[in-house]
Amino acid sequence: MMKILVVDDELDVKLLFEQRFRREIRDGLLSFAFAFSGEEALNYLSQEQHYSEVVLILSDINMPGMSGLELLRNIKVEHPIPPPTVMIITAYGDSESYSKAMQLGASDFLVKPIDFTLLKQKLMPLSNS
Amino acid sequence: MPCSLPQKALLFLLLVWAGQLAVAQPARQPAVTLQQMPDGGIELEKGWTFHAGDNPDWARPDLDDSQWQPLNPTVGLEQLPPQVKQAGIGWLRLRFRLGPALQHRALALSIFQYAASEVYLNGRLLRRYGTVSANPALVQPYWPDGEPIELPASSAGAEQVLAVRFAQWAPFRAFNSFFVPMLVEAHLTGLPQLVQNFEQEATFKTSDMLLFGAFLLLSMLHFAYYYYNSTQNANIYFALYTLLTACSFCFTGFLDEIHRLNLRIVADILSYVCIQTGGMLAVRALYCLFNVRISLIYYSLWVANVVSLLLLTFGPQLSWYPTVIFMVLVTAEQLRLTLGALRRTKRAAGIIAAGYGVALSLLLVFAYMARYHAKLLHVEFLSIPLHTLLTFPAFLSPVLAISLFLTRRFALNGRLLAIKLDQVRRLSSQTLAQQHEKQQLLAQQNETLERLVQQRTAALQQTLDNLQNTQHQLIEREKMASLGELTAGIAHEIQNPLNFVNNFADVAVELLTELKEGPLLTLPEAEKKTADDLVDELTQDLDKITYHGHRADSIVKGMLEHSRANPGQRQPTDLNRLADEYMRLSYHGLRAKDKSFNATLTTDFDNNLKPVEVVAQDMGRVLLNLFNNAFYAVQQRQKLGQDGYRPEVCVKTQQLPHGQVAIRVKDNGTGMTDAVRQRIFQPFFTTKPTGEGTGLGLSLSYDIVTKGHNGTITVDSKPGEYTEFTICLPVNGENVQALTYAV
Repeated sequence: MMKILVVDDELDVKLLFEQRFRREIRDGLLSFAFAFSGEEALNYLSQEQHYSEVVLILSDINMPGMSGLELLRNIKVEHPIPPPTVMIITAYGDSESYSKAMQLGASDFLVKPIDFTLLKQKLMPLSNS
Repeated sequence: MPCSLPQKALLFLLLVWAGQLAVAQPARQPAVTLQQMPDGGIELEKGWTFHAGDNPDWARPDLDDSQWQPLNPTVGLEQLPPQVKQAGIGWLRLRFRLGPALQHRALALSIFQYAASEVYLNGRLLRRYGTVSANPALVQPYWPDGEPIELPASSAGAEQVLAVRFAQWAPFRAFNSFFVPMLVEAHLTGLPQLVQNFEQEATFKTSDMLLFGAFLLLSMLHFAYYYYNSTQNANIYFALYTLLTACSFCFTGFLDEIHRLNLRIVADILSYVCIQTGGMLAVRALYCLFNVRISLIYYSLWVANVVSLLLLTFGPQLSWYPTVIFMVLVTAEQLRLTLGALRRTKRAAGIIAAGYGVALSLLLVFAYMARYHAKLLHVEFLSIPLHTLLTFPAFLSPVLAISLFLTRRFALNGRLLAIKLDQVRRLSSQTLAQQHEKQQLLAQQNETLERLVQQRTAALQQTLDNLQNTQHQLIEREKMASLGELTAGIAHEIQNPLNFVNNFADVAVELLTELKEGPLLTLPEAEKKTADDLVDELTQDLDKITYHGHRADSIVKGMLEHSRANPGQRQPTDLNRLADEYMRLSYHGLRAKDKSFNATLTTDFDNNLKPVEVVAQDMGRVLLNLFNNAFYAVQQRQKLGQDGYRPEVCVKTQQLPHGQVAIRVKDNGTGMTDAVRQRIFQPFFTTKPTGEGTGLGLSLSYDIVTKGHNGTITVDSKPGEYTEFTICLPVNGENVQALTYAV
């Protein structure tokens, strides 16, 4: 069972992910938690049991308040052990954002609109491990 | 007076010894019988008897005059015996006899006198000269001038009596005996002597008149000089001098024509006054001429002039020596001035000196002859006596010399003026020429300046045009840039909702598939059929949503190309090859869709084209866009079905100066209007039908060329004929900007 924290200011993300991964959720392979801002995500992770549960964080970059890249840096600095896998999903597919995210320790960089087929392929190895 | 001219000559020339010629001293010799007739005639000076008082009988020949006092009446008044002086009126008687030689000859009696008289011969009145009266106030003296009185024929050896009743004029006594030399003088002459005397007198008179005329002319001449050039004061003095001298000769010449003695003596004195004062003025003229300061000598001479004139007129027994002395002084002064001028290297004074020299030498000859060969002086050449021939030029030469000197100076002044005038003319013409030259130069400079201004203005205009073009390009570029950024921003924002549209549509299709395969199977057959149909339609709709969502996604992806931050690597690229490659790619791409399409491809590649540093991928995209548009345009025109239309797309490369290359893509397609042409580089502007073009091709090309490669892309078109795109790229992308602005 892999727990994934999705951070995005778009509320519909929750519905979309729940519908897209309804089979995996139903089969008990994946479970999702949602945070609608960077602050909320940090808050969520600060609770010990949540932190240990979360295997993967999927974050948007462009959000009001804390941006996805700041969130990434915070997570990498404040929760180094065990290092969570963070994937960045953004509408800004520019190389600047990409290199910045990679430099901060993101494990992957996906561009909106999200290709869920591709995302599932990337998640499979993680859930198996 | 026959000797007046030589007298003047001597006075004038100051040769003292010539004074001896003045008056012949009478020699006493008793002669009652006149035997011979000498050359000069017989002067009746002996044998006269005198008686004071008045008696008409005293004219009678038979009167006994043995008691009468003997008297020589030809001496000066001063030398007369006292009783003669005292007597106002008196008688003179002379008894004479003609010798055999003189008998039967025609004889004439001539009387000269300084008195009034009546002349009787043998008791008969011959002539009455003036008014004789016992009352001195009524006496009027008369000058008979020796007019010839014919003597009546008389028997041989008969005694004849000449009686003269005379009255003295008292004022004569006051004058110098020089002016009043005798009382009465009687001459007896024969015809030859008479003729000779007249000739002599005529000669003297002619000489006087000639000199008068000559001096008057000189005077007029110099008056005229002075009148027309009053700066030369010497002229006026010289004119006055010659005028006075002319007057003097005039008085002398006409002296014997004045019969009223009181007037005659005034004229006589005036002639001396004139000649002396004239001499003073000549001195003054020389002072002026030689620029000598007026000195005490000059004033002293004036005093001497006055004194000598008074002495001459009234001085007893002084004869004419006062005048002689004065003239010596004047001449000395004149000589002094002339020699002084000569010393001061006034070479022209030589003329005057020469004049004096000629006069002096002539007069020396004259004096020598007068002293030692007096008879020679009366030798005549061409009926003119030698003394006249000598004195006449002697008078004139100094005067003529001074006149010549003045005239010469006048002429020299004139010539100098002419030279000066010529110089002034030449200078003024030079100045004029210089002025003309300057004006020409100025005009030339003006022209040059104007040309320069025009050139500069043209250059400025060119620069201004360039600047305006550049500014326009900059504005356009800025507009494009901001549009590009805006587009990128919009694209990002659209991607989020698009994400949901696409994914929800996808997931909805999945859900419908689950619905159809799961719960719907449980429905009764009739309802199941309807439900299946509905689900199929819903699925179809959702597919449409997915399709159009993906379409929008590709649009957004294209838009995002603008803001792609990391350009590809530049590398030297053969643009000829690149253009050729993309042209074929585009052509075949179109042919794949439309088999019927056909077009002529023309390439005109510059073989000297240098490799250009570009991002080959980007530039390929640009070329592909241009070729796509070109083929599209010819395809559209072909569809119009015009007769003889042959679609043609042409590409041309060219090496330009300033390190630039140009690529031209030209088609003979539909062309475009100005309104379209102005908007073609704007994003989302397209002329193609919906779905066929994004409106981003040229916008992106514009960005790639201008921003990415520092080049320019321009378009030229004519609707219905052609469209030509021109890309200019710097070979080495750095310094092109600067070159573009270089004027």
